[in-house]
Amino acid sequence: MNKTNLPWVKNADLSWSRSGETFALSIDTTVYSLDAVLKTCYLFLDECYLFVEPNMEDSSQITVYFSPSNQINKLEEVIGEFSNRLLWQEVRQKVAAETQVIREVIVAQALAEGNILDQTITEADYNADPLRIAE
Amino acid sequence: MKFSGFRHLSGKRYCFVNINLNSSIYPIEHIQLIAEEFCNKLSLQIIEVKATAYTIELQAKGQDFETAKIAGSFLNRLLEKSITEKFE
Repeated sequence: MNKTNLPWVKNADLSWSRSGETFALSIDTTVYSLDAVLKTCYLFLDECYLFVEPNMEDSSQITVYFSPSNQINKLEEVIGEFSNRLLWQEVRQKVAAETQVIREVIVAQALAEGNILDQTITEADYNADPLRIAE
Repeated sequence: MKFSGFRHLSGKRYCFVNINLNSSIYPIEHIQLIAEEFCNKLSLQIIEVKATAYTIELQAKGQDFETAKIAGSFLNRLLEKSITEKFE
């Protein structure tokens, strides 16, 4: 029986914590990438104990277990926030992939104008005229 | 993940936790590094190594009821190490 108000969360049968409850969140990797899951986990390391376990029988499923640590007040809120953050992370990665080319072009253009790779031109004595402007 | 324990004749209780870790998420190379950070708090043993997973056994030094919390901290630190290495 699910003890949270989050229907997508299950009670875990791990005897992970004697005092608190442990919850399991099954994540479909066809919807959320493993990178997004791990990056989201990283954000919550200070909130609770996390354990990530791929499903051996179904490779498209990853389970994240949540257990309360000292700092936590309410695990349900943390898992709800985790779920939202996971969605945010996945969208962020998709947008980053979509805009990767244009971002690289903008950065390349900015660096090219700065002449940071060839400073002999920008740092040269005007009498030397390395660009032959005066000719 | 499995907890087990027994009570010694002296009355002291010993508690162990066996954890099955997937190598793709928790590389076995990180175990030693993180174990060194926790060497004052827990004893660690690698019990079984398979192609994609391995099993470790943890036991808290000192009071046994701390085993779950120390194991939780250990796993969080291990996950943090894996993620920072993967995305640095």
